[in-house]
Amino acid sequence: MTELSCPEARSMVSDYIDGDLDADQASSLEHHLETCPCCPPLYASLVETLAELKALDDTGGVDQLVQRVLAALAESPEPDDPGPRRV
Amino acid sequence: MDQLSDLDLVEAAKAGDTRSFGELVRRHGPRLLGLARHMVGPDAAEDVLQEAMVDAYRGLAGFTGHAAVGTWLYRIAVNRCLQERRRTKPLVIDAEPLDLLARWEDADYSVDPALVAARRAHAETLQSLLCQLPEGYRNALLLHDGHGLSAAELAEATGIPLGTAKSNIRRSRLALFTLLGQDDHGLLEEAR
Repeated sequence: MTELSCPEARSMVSDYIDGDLDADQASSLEHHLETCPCCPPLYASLVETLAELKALDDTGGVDQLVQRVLAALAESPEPDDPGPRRV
Repeated sequence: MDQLSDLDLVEAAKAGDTRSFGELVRRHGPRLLGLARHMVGPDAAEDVLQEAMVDAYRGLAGFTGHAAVGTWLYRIAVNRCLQERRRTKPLVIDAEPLDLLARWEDADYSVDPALVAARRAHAETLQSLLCQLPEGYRNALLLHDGHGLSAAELAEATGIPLGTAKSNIRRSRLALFTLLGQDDHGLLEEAR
């Protein structure tokens, strides 16, 4: 396990949140978060901020969208163009 | 129709069944609407999404199933939203992201979590700060953190390399967090 400086730890936090660190890196970061007096509140605050982005959703109006799409398709119903690039 | 998979609905829609396509829109519409409202605003969102879904229907022949149906619809919606945003809103960058990020190279630099929480509590603050970020960063925050797309899906949806998508995810989070930590409006005092 590597001892991390605060800047090193902060540069790894995003990948840690996404589960993209290997076990050794994750262990080093967790050790830093357990022992550093400064970084844990920052880490918690970042996690809360990212959660807030999910809460921005306002997803009403789907039925109206479906009706609008179906009405538009009724005017041009054939799915025959190549359209967007293949996936 | 609830028992049919997305792929079943795609196959039926390819054969001309618009009701099956409507069901796909119903299933994925909530996330797509949320995305479009953030990217182009609530007024334009339904118009842009209607166009995007008509694009998708016309492009059904090009869907081969290599990506999930939701990811495919997302990519088409993102493309339409990006077109709309470029048409109506010239990119404005009020803060230099690299400068924001460089502050964290100083071990003594920090932000006050209480201030971040106070500013975050204002939904319009988050929205306005998102608008201050470069497009790649905004897309990363909205699509990855807001809508749960993986880095690979973000790359696919916005047409950028995977490495750039991962870098944008890391940098955009730090940039938004740093902007939230700037007390431009005395909110910390207000909150205390």
